[in-house]
Amino acid sequence: MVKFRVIPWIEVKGSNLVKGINMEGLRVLGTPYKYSNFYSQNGADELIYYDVVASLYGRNSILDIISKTAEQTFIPITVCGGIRSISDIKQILKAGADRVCINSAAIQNPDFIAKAAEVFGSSTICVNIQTLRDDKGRYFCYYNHGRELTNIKVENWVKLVEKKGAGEIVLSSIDREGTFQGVDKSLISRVKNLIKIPLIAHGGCNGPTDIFQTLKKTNFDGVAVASLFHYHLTKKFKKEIINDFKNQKRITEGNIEYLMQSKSVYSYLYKNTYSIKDFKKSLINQKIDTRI
Amino acid sequence: MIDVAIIDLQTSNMKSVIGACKKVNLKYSITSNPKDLKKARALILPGVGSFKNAMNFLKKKKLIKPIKEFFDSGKPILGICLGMQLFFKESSEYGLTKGINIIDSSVKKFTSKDNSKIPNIGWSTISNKKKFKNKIFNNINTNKSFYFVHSYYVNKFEKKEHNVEISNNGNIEFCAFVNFKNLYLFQFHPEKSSLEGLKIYKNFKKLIKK
Repeated sequence: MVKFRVIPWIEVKGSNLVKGINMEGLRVLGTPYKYSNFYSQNGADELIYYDVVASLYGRNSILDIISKTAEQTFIPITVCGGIRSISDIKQILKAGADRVCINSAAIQNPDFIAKAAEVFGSSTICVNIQTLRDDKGRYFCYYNHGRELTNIKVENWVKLVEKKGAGEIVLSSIDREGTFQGVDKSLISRVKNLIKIPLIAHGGCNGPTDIFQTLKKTNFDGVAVASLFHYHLTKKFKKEIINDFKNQKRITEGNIEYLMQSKSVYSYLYKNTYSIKDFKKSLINQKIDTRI
Repeated sequence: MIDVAIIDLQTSNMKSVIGACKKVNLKYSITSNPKDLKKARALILPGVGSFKNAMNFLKKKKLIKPIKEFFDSGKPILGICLGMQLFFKESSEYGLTKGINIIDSSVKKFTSKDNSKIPNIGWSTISNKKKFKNKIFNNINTNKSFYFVHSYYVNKFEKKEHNVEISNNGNIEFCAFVNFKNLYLFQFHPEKSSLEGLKIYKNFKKLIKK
């Protein structure tokens, strides 16, 4: 039986790794390589790259990043963000990704999932679902990086996505994302029993206990984690990250205040970060079957 | 002579296979030309895509007979995922299609009747024993996991001269690894299985005679 997966979620804007809160307010945390190398050598089961601005500026920088990463990183790579056509997918796979993850293009045309699954096989095609709990406790789907609301209920959408041939669902909680409030347990349990394909939860994970408690309630297949792991490394490698930056030409791109100002008001916000290795060790101690 | 000819099925993710070969210093060439097989000391058949398309491609490129001859020559062959399945008798993927047929078993699709997840994606161990029997797993502990991503499988079987390791998906026990003579077949992706996967490439390199 396959094991519970722990997947670093790497948001990329241009050539930088960025992190926001509720998918907004992106803060630059360095170049992605330092992070991806560390993750792949410390037990990551996969890497998901999320290109924040692919649909706006094109995909050249992410292709470059994937291409460099794939030659040195011997774990699966999934790419998400702005994927609209069969030729987009071909390009990404050719750069060295193993799978792609689709949201906006699937919302606009669900048959795109079927077409992509037919060409590349279901196991290559994931669907990313972006949603949040509204004030009536309902979950509707969003697209365009959590900006545009639809009238599609998440319960209906997961079933359709599976029927169209998606091989996996990555379920993003916009309202939890970047907040350290824990994954959305009621969303996960609401969705899980409606589908047979694997379900990866994303958004809000604040530690191994969060996952352990959620798994007691609902069985799901893995978790995608960003802030919890990233900020651990930002602290650990801060000097090197800043030096890397200083050697780059595009130093001024994006919000680099957090990195550059050691006394930034946000610097000490994230106390309870985790190294991915310790995170997985704790899961194993709780008898959760994950890769050593 | 080169170390390894990697057959390009056009749909495969070649980058990671190439990356793994580079990492263990294997001299490779990527080819779909039958002549190149004669110049190689070993063969890798990677594979993502559908069985039918892959077999049609091998037929079109007149590669089936050269692959069989390569097997008969005793030089090592590594088959990965679809590249494993192609060495079996047949597959039901998009209509029954005949394979290269060196091992007499069929490739089937997982069904939810067997409580199987479709596709089967993720990391799994492949042996309950203390140690691996096959030298392709030298220096790898049996508690280590490998990365699978597939919807089709070959049922667990026992045959003389075949060394099989298994994994399961729901109630189905399937072949995760099959060794028959100089044929080393992996349902999982060694090139995506982190350090343990690279050890497989290292061990494969040791099988290649200079």
